[in-house]
Amino acid sequence: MGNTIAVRIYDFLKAYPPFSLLPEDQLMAVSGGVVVQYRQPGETIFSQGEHPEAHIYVVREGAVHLLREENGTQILIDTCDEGDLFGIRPLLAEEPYAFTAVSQEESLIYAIPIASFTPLLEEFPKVAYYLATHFAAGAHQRFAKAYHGRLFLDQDHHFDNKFQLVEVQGIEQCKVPVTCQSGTLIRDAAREMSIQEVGSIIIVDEDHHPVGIVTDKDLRKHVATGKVTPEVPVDAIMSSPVRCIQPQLTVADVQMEMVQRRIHHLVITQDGTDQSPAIGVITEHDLLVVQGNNPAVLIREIKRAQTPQALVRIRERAEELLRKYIYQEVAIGFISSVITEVNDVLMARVIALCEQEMIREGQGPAPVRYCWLALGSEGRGEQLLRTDQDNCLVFEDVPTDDYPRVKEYFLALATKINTYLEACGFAYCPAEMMGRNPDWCLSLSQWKDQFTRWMTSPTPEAVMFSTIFFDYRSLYGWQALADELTEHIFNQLDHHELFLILLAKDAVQTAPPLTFFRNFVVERSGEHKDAFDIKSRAMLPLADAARLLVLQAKVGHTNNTIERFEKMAEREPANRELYEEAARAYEVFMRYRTLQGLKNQDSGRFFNPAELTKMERLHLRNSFQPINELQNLIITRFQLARIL
Amino acid sequence: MRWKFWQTEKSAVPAWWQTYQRELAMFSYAPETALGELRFVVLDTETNGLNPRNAALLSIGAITVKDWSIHVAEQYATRLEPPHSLDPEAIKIHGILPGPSSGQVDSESALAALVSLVGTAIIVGHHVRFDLAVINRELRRLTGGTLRNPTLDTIDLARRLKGNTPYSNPGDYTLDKLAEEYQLRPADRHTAPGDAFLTGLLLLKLLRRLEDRGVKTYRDLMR
Repeated sequence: MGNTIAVRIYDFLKAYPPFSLLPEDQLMAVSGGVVVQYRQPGETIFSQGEHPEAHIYVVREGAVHLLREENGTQILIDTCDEGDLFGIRPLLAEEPYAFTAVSQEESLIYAIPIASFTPLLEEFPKVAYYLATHFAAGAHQRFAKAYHGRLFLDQDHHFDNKFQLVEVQGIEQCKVPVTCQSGTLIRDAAREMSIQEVGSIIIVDEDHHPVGIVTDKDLRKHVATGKVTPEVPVDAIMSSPVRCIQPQLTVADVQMEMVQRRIHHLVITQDGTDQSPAIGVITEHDLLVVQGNNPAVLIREIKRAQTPQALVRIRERAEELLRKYIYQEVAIGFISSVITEVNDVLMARVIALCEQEMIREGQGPAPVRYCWLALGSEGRGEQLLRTDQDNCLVFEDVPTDDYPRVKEYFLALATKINTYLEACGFAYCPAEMMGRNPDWCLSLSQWKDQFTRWMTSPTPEAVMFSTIFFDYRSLYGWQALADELTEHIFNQLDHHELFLILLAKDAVQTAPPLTFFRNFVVERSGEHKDAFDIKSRAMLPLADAARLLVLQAKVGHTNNTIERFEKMAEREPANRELYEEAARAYEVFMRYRTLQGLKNQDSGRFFNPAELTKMERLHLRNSFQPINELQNLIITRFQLARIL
Repeated sequence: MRWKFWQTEKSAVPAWWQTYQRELAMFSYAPETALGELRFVVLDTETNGLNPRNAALLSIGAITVKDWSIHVAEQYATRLEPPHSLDPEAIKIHGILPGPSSGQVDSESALAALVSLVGTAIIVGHHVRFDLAVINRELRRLTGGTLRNPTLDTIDLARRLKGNTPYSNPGDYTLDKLAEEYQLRPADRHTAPGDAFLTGLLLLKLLRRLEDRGVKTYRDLMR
């Protein structure tokens, strides 16, 4: 009968990492040695400073708080619920426990003997890697490069990063194949093909294994010419054997096979040979359709589009592309550069169409050179989903007399641009941070003055504007205007030290939450909330920190948060690891926000922790850590302790 | 020969039983022993009838509880070779079909393993008198003796917690009802090891509650 209780424990553990990464027999052996502990509310499982025991722990039922004692007060470090692993210090180092574990409710804890687990660390590096990255005492090396930014660590990944744009896309829509049995008359097979409106039919044996294929071309070549009568079995004209391919295939696989064999149809079978049932068919035409969604094609179509309506449709297809990239875990850096490129080209096309419309309406071409600037997330090149527009316009200085007329022209142009962008799915900014707002449609000198004012008298409002406007990026027009503005800002920074300090203060204002517990977000105070705002609680603190650091270091032309951290990592080797971790954490947040947004058809900003899987919660939770460390670094560097 | 006759007579008592008896004779818990230091073996059996005089053992599950924990490694679970005819109702409940099949052992091997796991522990079960009656009937047949360990019934412990209620409905003390009352998740119900595990969890919860009410030692527990 074996140890059926161990089987029950195995069934539970196998759902949670790192146990999910172990083979069945190994995990069964571990399960057989488990000690099931029953703990009362308030009972201490182990204490900070105590020498580790011989077990690591998993919560089976109930809840456990991990607390650190500092100067006589207890600080909540983490809350563990069903499936959470804790107290793994003895696995990693021969040191006393760094915190105290207290059962919060009546809890059942699985205590796993270290002796049964240690050998597995060597045998299964993935397990060791998981533990090292998720629980290492220091925050560093939390993410090893091999897995960086990935949300689905529990799945295996096969794809190579060195891909071309299209090649990574999987082919999802393998149609149910139209088939007929060997021995079917040509006439009946042809009738079936026309009823199903397909250009090919797969001939299968009694096990549904493919034995041949007949296409329109075969019918033309053999039957229409009168060489073969339609009253004989299809076997007479079918191509045999058929080329088969596995279900998990990419465009690259299919293309390669078709080019090498000079064929236009591939049959998808369960194991990729003709000795298993046919489950789909893929044609050269299917391939073209998939390729139609590649970025290069989209960009070409955007450039040719004549109406905003056409642009809307193309943008929808870009969203499909985004979905595929996100689910296939393509690197976020790559995804955002592709989507930013699509957005940029689309916006440039919108502006060009608006310029033409101005001419058609008799308002003429632009009176002087100007530059359209994207702000906020689009300015940082991080806008994956279409969120609110944030933009402004800067034009060349003109004599005072001409100013009203010139400004009027650009306001009219900007109004058109904002309207068309809205039609393309980029909602209006509720705070009117758009080119059509007279405050944000200014000449170069006026913009210089504006930025100087923000720096000279940094009111809370000025700091708020700075966080949006300092991430500007030239999208269309004469870029020298934007460059001159940047130069001006860096010159001014030297004289306005207080501005950076206030920006720093702003950057450390919002701390990330502590963790997720069941369906709640747990704050540092222990408070529980049921909604998580990933933008303001996780992404903005990182984006703010990155902006502050590059402003202080005067690194220009780098707007993207991830790139900003990478640049800072080069400049400050001492903080390299932290900056790299911050960049990866930002990737995780971007990916997750996009995923949620695609799922819920919204900006992805707010979500309920209940929508997350255990693995996703762990992953997000671990990505909060660099934010804290970064904020501590900023507090020290800008000596904020005095003013906070 | 006389000598040989004597040996045959002596070996009729199996070695595992002699070991058990020797260990038990030399051991007893001091009355002040704290609950957490006691060793319990929680057991459950499945039989083909409700009369302990003739019900046959179909399966046994037993698990060790000590230090406020269930020790999964210190367990014993087996199916026994069934007799040839079985009550169809019992088959419906337990899913154990007549006739030998893989993983089944004979009665003596099963009881030898069970007794060596039990050793000097306190035997615990839900309505344990029935299980012990069947087990002891078999033991008497095989060894001439019966289990002499201190014994606790989780039904009695649950009753003690309820206090002196003048009237109590026996239906309130089924394992299912108590599992529900103490928020235990029953799984694998109606298999011996599954029920032994569930009873083990129930024991832990009952002991903690009794401890809160002043039941701190072996003496308090067995009074």
